[in-house]
Amino acid sequence: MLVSALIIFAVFLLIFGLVVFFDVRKAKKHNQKYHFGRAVTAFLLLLPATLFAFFFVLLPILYSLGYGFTDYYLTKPNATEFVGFDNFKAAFEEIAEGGDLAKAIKNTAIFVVVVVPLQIGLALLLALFCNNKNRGTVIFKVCFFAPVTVSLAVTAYLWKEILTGSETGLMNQFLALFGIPAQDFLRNDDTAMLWIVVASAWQGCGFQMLIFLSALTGIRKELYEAARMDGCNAFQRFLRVTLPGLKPTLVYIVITVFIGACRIMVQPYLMINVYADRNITISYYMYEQVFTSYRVGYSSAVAFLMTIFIGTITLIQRKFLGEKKR
Amino acid sequence: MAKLLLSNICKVYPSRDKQPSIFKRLFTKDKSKLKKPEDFVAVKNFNLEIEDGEFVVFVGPSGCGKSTTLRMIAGLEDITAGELYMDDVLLNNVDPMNRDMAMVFQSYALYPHLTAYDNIAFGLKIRKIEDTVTDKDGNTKTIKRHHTKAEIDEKVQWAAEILGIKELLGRKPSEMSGGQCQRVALGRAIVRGPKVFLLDEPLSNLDAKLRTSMRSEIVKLHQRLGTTFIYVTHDQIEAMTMGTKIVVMKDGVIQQVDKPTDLFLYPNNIFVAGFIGTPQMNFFDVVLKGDSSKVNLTLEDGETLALDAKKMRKINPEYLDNEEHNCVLGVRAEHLKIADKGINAVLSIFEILGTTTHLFMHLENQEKEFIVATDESRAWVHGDKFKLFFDEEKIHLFDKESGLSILEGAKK
Ligand SMILES: Nc1ncnc2c1ncn2[C@@H]1O[C@H](COP(=O)(O)OP(=O)(O)O)[C@@H](O)[C@H]1O
Ligand SMILES: [Mg+2]
Repeated sequence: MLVSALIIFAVFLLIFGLVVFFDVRKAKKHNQKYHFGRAVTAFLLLLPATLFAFFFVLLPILYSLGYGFTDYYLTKPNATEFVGFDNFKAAFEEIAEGGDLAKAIKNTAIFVVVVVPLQIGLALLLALFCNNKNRGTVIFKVCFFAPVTVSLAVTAYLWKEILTGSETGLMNQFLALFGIPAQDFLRNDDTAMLWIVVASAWQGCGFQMLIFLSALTGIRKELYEAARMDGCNAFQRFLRVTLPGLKPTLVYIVITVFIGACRIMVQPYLMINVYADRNITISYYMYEQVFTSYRVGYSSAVAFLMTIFIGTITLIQRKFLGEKKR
Repeated sequence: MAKLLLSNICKVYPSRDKQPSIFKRLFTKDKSKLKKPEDFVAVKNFNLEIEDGEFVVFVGPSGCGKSTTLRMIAGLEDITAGELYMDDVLLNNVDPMNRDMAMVFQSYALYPHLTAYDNIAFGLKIRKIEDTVTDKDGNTKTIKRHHTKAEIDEKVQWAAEILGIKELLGRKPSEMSGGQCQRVALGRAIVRGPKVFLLDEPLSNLDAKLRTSMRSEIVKLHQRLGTTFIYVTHDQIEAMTMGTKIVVMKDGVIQQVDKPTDLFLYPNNIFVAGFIGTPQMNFFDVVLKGDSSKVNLTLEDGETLALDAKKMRKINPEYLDNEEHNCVLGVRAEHLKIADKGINAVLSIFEILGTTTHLFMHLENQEKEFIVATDESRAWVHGDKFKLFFDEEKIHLFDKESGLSILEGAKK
């Protein structure tokens, strides 16, 4: 550990030294004076955050990547050996054979594709609904935001109770009012994922609503008035003033919600409680690989693949949604 | 053709203060102590006729209800009471998009994500136009359709040409200066050929030099288009230089509606007299006593101005009964002359502004200062004593209590 800390510090120093070196060169080129005192201050200010990031972000990532190339078995850490690309090969074989990983990817993909537009759309609707100065709306804001403040485990359990298969379940009692027979929502392969989507959109959208709300207040009132004078009706104003005004926020929200959705695990795990075809997601699969099958090396390889995949998609989203720079 | 008629228009904003809470209302015994939030009357009984093609300026100190009135005309603000007509059509409940007016905002209000071109074209793209077409059977009928790209381009280029912004059309608002943005905003307004232009302090965000040049450009634009302009400003110089009809407002009430020259020469009341003209008109409290031939005005320091009523504008006969009346004498700085005899005054400070010099004086034993504008150049010395001549033909007299002018107004 001490060795790695020293190495990290050395790397940090090296990077910082390079930055200073190039800055000095640039300053010389433009005939400006370079202030070493400021560089030292900057160095000291950057140090704590950098060390934190190295130890708690970069180091685990590097370790995890390293494990991906070993046969690290949770109960036999001392027998670990380097196995090259075997784990990655195994992962691709699993996908090709339609094994658990393939099902996990399919479930995760369905979840992401449905939950991202649903949650963001819901958040936008709620924000538009709350975006006025009537005193009553603060109550709605609190209600919509409340689920965000509640622990994921608690809300998962809450939804599990609502959707329980027995006739006493809240949802089934409600359906009974319309004469619909009791359903077992979470044990049904077709509806389980749908309800997981609903539960997580419900839990998450309050946060995005808040971000949308603050972005909405940033759109100037005169723009709406100008649009009215230009002949826009309410819907056209939304389309041509509100949406463009929200665009930078929207990009941020799409990316963060997408990344969050890719990592979905708590709701499928707690709402259904068994590791089954209908609810495994990629994160859930990795978790099972480590804590049930003890295959840390293999799980690390999968995690690494997933990181690359999410990173790629995020870059693509940024390219298509982001502001075009002139 | 667009003639506007504003008849008894009022605007009341509900108070923004909170109602006393329900607990307070329940537990306060003395109900009269509960303060009910009072509504705010922003515009009161506004009556105005605006002819087609006029350049009307609403002017007044900030907060006097100019914008509110303009926004009621635009339809952005509800009219609390009264009627607004355009060509005898009641507009009160007509949506802004159907009023065929265009507005230019103080903050430009350009769509930040669109280029100048798209900002100007915006209204054209949104609105449909009526067009008569002949189908293959030879029947003509009227249809509603969008502008074609070519039509839009032609109009945008036309507007850009007039405003001299052709080379800016590809830029976003963030890449333009304030003056350029305001030109684009004007372009957005003129391109649609609306019946009325509404401009709410369009030049306030520009620097002084640009303001002067844009001022004449807007006037030229008005002459070229011949459309009705309603222009709001708090700057009386802007109002005097641009308007063909000026509406002076204060606290939501019209003070005077007149041509610029008449406003300057024949102010209705003390407020208008003080608001129009720089430097501000000087006011003296006086006691008036006289008859139809001779009028004596006694100043606060006891000196008396003996004036020939024949030379003055005609005074309301009620005041010429040889009784004493408390009045206010108004005289502009350029109508006070240093002379051999007259009222005694002491110089306190002076400001030399090139050809003109502003002398800040006060009456002997009095503190209130007034300004004398003179073209004389000599070595002014603080504390020097002078005698002042009041130009009888140019003085104004107001009733002290009501503030209204007691002189005859302009001959119409
Ligand atoms: N939405 C509003 N609610 C309450 N009072 C308002 C509102 N808008 C303007 N006012 C008040 O009405 C008065 C006139 O405002 P305005 O027409 O904007 O003045 P100005 O002549 O400076 O343009 C001001 O005192 C202002 O505080
Ligand atoms: Mg205003």
